[in-house]
Amino acid sequence: MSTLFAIAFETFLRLRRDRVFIPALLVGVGLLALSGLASYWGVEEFFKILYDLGTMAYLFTGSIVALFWGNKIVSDSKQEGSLEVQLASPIGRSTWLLGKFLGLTTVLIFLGILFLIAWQGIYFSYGMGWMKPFDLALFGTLTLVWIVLAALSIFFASIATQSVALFCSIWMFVAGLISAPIMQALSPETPEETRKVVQVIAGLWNLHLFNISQSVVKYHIPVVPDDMGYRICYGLLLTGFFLSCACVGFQRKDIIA
Amino acid sequence: MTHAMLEIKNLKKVYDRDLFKKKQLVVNDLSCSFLEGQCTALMGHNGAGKTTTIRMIFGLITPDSGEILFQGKPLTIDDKRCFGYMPETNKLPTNLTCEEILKHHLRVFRPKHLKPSEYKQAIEEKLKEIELWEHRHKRVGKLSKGMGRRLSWAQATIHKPNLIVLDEPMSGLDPLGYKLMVQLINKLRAEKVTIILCTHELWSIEQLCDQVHIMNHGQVVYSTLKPSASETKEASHIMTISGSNAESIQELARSHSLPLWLDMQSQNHRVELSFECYSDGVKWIQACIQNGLLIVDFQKLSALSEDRLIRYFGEEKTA
Repeated sequence: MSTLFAIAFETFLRLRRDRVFIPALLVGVGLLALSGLASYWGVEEFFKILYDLGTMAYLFTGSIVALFWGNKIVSDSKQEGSLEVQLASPIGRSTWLLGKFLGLTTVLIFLGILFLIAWQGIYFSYGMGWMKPFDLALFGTLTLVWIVLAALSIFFASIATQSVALFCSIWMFVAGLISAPIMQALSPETPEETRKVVQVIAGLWNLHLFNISQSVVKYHIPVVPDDMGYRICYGLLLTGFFLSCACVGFQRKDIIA
Repeated sequence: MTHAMLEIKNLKKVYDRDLFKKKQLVVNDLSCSFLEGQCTALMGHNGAGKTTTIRMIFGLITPDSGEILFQGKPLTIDDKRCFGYMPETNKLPTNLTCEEILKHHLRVFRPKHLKPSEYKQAIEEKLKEIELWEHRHKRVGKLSKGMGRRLSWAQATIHKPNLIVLDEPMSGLDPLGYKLMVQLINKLRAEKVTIILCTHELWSIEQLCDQVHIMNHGQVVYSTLKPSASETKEASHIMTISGSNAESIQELARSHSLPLWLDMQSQNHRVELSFECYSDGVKWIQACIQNGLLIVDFQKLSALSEDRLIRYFGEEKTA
């Protein structure tokens, strides 16, 4: 266990110092601030625009950073050779991967907290006081998307080269965003078999499930604990699945720098 | 009696990664041992299978067959606590400081002789030993190559391993760094640490090693316990005589009943004779002086001279 935390701490330290950290923070905070401004000047309902743009800024900035870092922490270790030295020490390969994931998750949560502080700033600037528990639930579930994508990109990075892994991770991210809209856009004439296939894919890999802003802000449906539990379980299952695949794939791989 | 610290038995590895490329036999039924407390050189030309063998020892590459025994038992992950590894190039995380790297290393190895509260002290001692204490807060990316080598050394040795693998430890070092590295290796030898030294430098092998394994095509083709000239059946000394030719040398050998040479080469009134032992050469020196022949050179040949190595490296290639 201490080995796992040692690797997680090392990863946290490295990512915290990564050149992408400050730009990602600035871009995220900047987009959140812009969503605040756009909602103020927008023609539609203030809250709808604020939450639509805000969640999109939060989701996209964090997801891209998660994909990039997930890829980077494994690929950089391969490239600079520190992977070889670390695995030559008494560290199991799965422990190494899980430690890396844990470190990445910690940095992502840290980044998420900084974004939430910026969000609170928007609340204060419009005189709305402290943010509601709903906001915490909303951004919490969105952070789960980051964590799922981090596990996904670690999986690809552990079995493929950097460019291939990055391509596959981005492609999967896009697929996760468009699977549900494709399912909804199917015409009534679509054959039943095709519909079922699309339904299965959208059911298994649908990142919209993590965005609860639509149901609450647009349809005024309150957040139900059971519903939140379902979404959290879904996220954890996906994370566990990708990490398990990564561990199995990485276990068999020869480390040739 | 010295026991084998690490034993490799019938190790085999075929690289079969690319569907479109031919299978590549990298390590072929390799068997050798590394004696406890001894420094063993692992030599071979590029592509001989040294690095793959080392990576298999550390579990980075899975062998297709064969076994690796550590102190007589199959190697486990936990045994790696007793291992140290200094790779050929500096393979260190670039955005961590020297101090952080060593701290992380100790946290992973958790050496038995140190409590976590003593890590700081151990790091200080090690960084002072390798003259990097002043640079402890510097990130690895900002270090020079020589500093990086020394930090790699510190990382490989801070947990006091019983067995250490040094892959080209002298590469990229200036004369001062080189001298320091030799001192550090000698210190380890004095502490009876088992050392596996991968190098191409004959000087360092002769000075530092007790045992040599030469690899070619994934096998050990030559192995010796002490790389000294006297133990080999090969030519140990070579003499160059000026102002003579092959016929007169043969006549001299007959008339003075001199020991026969192992090899003779004659060109432009210069004759080069090689002898199996020093005493044969001395008899020839006396005879040459008596007959007024000029000896322009008489030297000891290294057991691992470049010529010999090229032969070992090349023999299997042509086979």
